[in-house]
Amino acid sequence: MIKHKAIMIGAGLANMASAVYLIQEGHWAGDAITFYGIDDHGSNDGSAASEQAVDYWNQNHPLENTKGYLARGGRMLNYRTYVDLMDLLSRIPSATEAGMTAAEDTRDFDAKHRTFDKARLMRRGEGILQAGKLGLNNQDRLLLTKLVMMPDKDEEQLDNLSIADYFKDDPHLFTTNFWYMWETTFAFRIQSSVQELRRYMHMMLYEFTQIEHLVGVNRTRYNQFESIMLPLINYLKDAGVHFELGTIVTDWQFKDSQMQDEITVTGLEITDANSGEVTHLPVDDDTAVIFTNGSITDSATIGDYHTPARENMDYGLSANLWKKAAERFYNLGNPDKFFADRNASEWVSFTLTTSDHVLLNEITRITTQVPGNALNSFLSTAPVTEDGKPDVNMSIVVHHQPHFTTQKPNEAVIWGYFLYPRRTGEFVAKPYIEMTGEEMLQELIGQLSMVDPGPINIREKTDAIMASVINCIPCYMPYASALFNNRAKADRPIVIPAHSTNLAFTGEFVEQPYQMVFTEQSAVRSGEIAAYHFAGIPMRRLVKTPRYDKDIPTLLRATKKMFE
Amino acid sequence: MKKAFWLTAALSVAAATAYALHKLDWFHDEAKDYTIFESHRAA
Ligand SMILES: Cc1cc2nc3c(=O)[nH]c(=O)nc-3n(C[C@H](O)[C@H](O)[C@H](O)COP(=O)(O)OP(=O)(O)OC[C@H]3O[C@@H](n4cnc5c(N)ncnc54)[C@H](O)[C@@H]3O)c2cc1C
Repeated sequence: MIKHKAIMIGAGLANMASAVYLIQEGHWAGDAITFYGIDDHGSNDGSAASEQAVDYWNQNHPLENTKGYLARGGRMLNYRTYVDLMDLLSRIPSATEAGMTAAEDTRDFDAKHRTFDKARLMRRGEGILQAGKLGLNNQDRLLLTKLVMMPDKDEEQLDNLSIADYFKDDPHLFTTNFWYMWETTFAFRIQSSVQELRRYMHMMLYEFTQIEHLVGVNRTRYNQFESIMLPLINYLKDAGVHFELGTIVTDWQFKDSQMQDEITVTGLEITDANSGEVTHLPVDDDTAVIFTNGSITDSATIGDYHTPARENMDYGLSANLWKKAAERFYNLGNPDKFFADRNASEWVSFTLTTSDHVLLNEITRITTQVPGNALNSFLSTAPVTEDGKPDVNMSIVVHHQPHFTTQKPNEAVIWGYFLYPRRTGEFVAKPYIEMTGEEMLQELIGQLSMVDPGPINIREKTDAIMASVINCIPCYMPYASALFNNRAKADRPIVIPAHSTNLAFTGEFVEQPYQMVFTEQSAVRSGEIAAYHFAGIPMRRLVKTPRYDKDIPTLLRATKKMFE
Repeated sequence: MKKAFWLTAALSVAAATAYALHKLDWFHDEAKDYTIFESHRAA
């Protein structure tokens, strides 16, 4: 079904990637493509907080303090496996570095700022742990090996199995350094899908061998809005692509067919997010509709230094539209699996902006590494899990500074997150989700103080640190890990569902061969597949996926690592 | 006799390896994963 025009529902990375491939590989005119989306960043946000305070999701939460910066998430990349993302970035100019492509920009920055984490795990009273000692026993090794060796064709055997189910006779795994690092590097929870864990073990097998130093982690020069999204937006606008932002696609019209299974979109209902005005957009025979059917930052809300982030119970506008399509056609998956179980998917993050480097320097001293290198996780000593085990309390990423192009020379931006937001703080006696930005910072200082090697404990600098705060913005994301939720393969539509004549699905809630979700990589690849489909480009020209799970040296190194 | 033993042993190891790799879908052709999209396009 070759088409010559496209309507993109959702203006995130996946659909922008699709547009670039349609233009460059399909030789489409830019003005044949129109985006309808609530904003132009999706999950890849990053800007001054004042700009985001007026975003759709934050409009109902007027904040007193909109100073400082906000990025709801931060991204670790992995050039080895993010081959489609790097291909995409090599096709567009950088937004900040003259004469470089966006790929050259990130490679240049990364080459000069290699990741080498020296304090991946820290524990009260012990300081930095030797996290390279994974702590696996024979049963852990056996079950992990079985998972890695399971061929793709048998993946459905893991349908509807959670990680907790798969390791039910092996609770030991959840007390190992391996698990503490794996859960916090990739944001897996024990309720998450073991099918997805298997995919990660495959794609990230190479990284498994060096997980304690995060050696394979690559980073962008600035936040991902400025280093990934802005180059895409600039390129697409220059090519004549239309952006209708502040719009929500709220319903479909489908063609009636005799067997009721032909999927042909004939019209869309568009709601203006500001005025509420509803318009009808007809979709003709020559138009493809490319839909990002889920966003992990939908319904996310923010607070400020003195205000916790309030919970927004909205189902999510992307999932709402997905649900309407899935209710009509039986092969489009089950959105409730991902968007009706917040307990499995929610997290809280925070973005802290300070006017000087006092806190930054203290963290550098305690973790023995310079900013930009690490993901530091603080382990509890007390039992915090439902079954009475210790676990990671919180994790932080101290970015290379500046992380935003508009940051003033002495300002610093630090990001952190709580994977289990309903657990209670160790230093502020309330659940993380109820904490203000100030309380999250107090919790961080408390954690740092317990691993501080001295001689002058960070606690003694508390006043100076607090005085340096410009803002600390908590962000509640009810669906942050939704893409990992326990599921069967059929719970997500494939990129081009059977019997679809003009509708494709992109992003993190689609089924595509081998890819692991929660990555910029899989989002881009889904968009690329949709573009190749509608432009009539053979799929064999897709970027080739490396298979480390079939690479003997990698398998041997991984086996050796399991015994460390 | 000795030669026959080693030949049989080598052949058995090769057969077992080939069987294991086949079971593990080691030589899976990635392009085949995408034929489903091609066939939807053709439809
Ligand atoms: C906290 C966090 C940490 C992360 N860490 C990493 C990491 O370390 N490494 C990594 O590779 N990736 C990471 N990611 C994931 C990465 O950001 C996502 O994989 C990527 O952004 C997905 O892109 P997307 O285009 O599929 O979806 P999104 O970025 O969510 O964009 C989709 C957009 O479309 C909009 N939309 C959908 N339907 C409609 C509609 N009907 N009407 C209007 N608009 C609509 C959505 O609201 C959304 O704005 C992280 C994400 C978060 C939130």
